[in-house]
Amino acid sequence: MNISEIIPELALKSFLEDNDVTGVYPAGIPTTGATSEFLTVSMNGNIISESEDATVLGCTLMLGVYVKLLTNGTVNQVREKILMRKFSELFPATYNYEDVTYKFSLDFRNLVYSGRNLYSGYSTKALNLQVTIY
Amino acid sequence: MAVDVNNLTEYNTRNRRLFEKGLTEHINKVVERDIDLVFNIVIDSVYNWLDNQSFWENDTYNLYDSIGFGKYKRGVLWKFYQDKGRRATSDKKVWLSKGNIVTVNGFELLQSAIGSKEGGDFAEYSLVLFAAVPYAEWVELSLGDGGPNKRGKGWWSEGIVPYTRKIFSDTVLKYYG
Repeated sequence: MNISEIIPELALKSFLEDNDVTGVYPAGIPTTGATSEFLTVSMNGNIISESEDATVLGCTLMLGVYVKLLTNGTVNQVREKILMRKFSELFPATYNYEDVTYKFSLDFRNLVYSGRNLYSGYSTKALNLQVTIY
Repeated sequence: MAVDVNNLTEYNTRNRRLFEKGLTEHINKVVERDIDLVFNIVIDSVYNWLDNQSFWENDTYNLYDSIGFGKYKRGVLWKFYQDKGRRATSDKKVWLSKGNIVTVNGFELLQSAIGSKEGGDFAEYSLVLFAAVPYAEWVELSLGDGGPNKRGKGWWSEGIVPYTRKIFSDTVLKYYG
């Protein structure tokens, strides 16, 4: 396994899309055409070796969940809850992407960020996702 | 009384493992909680200090909006902080070369800082201060249109950074010195 061929962001995007979760942006927030809810996936830190022979790697991905605010400017908690419930059903998961196996587990205990100040008109929840690669 | 060497070795090995396990749990629970406490005090203090800086009052507040703190553990962002509300009432217009004008929204630029590859992987635990607008450096070096008074010059290197450092060391000394 060559570390340069490992792209956890794309593996997670593919996994989510296979599970009917669309609007996933692995290259940051969309500059135009943002839908009423979308997700960003970004590397959080580096890929590290978890075994002496580097056959098992690990990293952290950050999943940003953006939901459009209601017309009165409040957070759409119903949609947020639906999305969080969906993620709690999807993870932990093991997924094969381009001959590499990824094990994803989402840390619901610690929100990296929760608020509505990061992107105009949207609320944001950012979660860390532990990835084991082998 | 005779002591069985093999049993003693096993006993010591077991004790060492128990000690290591206990130490790891202590670091994860107690030390991390203490570090988090220091980080929170620093963050609150810096935002209170920023509120009292007169040179922010007449500006667009986009620079203020672009400031945030990241808490990192082994190079991984585990908490991100920002002021409670948006201060800027409108985007800042910035003139670039050849007459191009771009609008800058401090809040949205801070988004790009999240998960930044420049994050705090220089220590086991790190607190990183972000200022994400592109003209933050112009203000710092007074390269823009700050006027004859060079308003805001050194706001980063002589203002917020040394203040943050001082609060950090004062807090550590106060609670753990």
